[in-house]
Amino acid sequence: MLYKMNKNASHPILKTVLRGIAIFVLAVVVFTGFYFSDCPALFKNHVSFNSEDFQFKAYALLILYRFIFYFSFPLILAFVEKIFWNKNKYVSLLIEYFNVQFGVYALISGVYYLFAIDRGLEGTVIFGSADSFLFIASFVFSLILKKRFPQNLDINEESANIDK
Amino acid sequence: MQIGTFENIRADLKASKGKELNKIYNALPGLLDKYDHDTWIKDLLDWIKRTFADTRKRCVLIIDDLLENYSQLNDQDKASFRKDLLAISEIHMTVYERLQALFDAL
Repeated sequence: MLYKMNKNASHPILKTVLRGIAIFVLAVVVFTGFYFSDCPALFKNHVSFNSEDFQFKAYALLILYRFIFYFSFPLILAFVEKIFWNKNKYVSLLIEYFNVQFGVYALISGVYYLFAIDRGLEGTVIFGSADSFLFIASFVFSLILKKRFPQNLDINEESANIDK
Repeated sequence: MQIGTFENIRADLKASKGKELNKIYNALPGLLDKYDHDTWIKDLLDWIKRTFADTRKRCVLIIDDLLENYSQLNDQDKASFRKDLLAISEIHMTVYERLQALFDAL
């Protein structure tokens, strides 16, 4: 279904929304998986360097957790889209997915603060560590890489189509 | 801090059910073996008390017993005891605690 919708998604907004939904679903699935593991206890008590309870396993898992949330979704989804549906270069798809991920996380974060869930969870900050990272990653991929591969970007193709 | 961990485990015991309760119960006697240095008469009386209690009550009795002995431990044992207690307190986490830990980690 997603394939058909994606194939027919000539409109850039629809395409972006579909990609956003895919990232959101993956994020929820991964978060649920971590929720039912030992990771919450490990992250809570065993990742502080100056603590006697520091465990390298917990620290490594935390890095993996962040890597999955910051990097893996664009890498995987861009790869899948490149293999099955898209003739664009992988890097240009990656740029688009990183931008979409940035948007999805910003939206989640916005809802989190708008509904004051942060106050309910005693000031717990969501994506607090990710804010600057995601901004920089999005910026780097969008600006620097886009300049190297301008011919592969949908936006250019769409502009060309509009010009015709 | 140790008292706080004891209180955490007490709170966990109230909220825990089934598997989690059994896990806590299975972990506590190991602490008794390591850190309970009572006389054999006191041990016998404690054992009799525990025999006629349900699992939840047994856990509470073991915790009380450990708490009585805590001040007699040396520093090294106290540190090791604290780690063991922390491991037990991690068996049960509420939904709220789990969400908080995962959101904080992001």
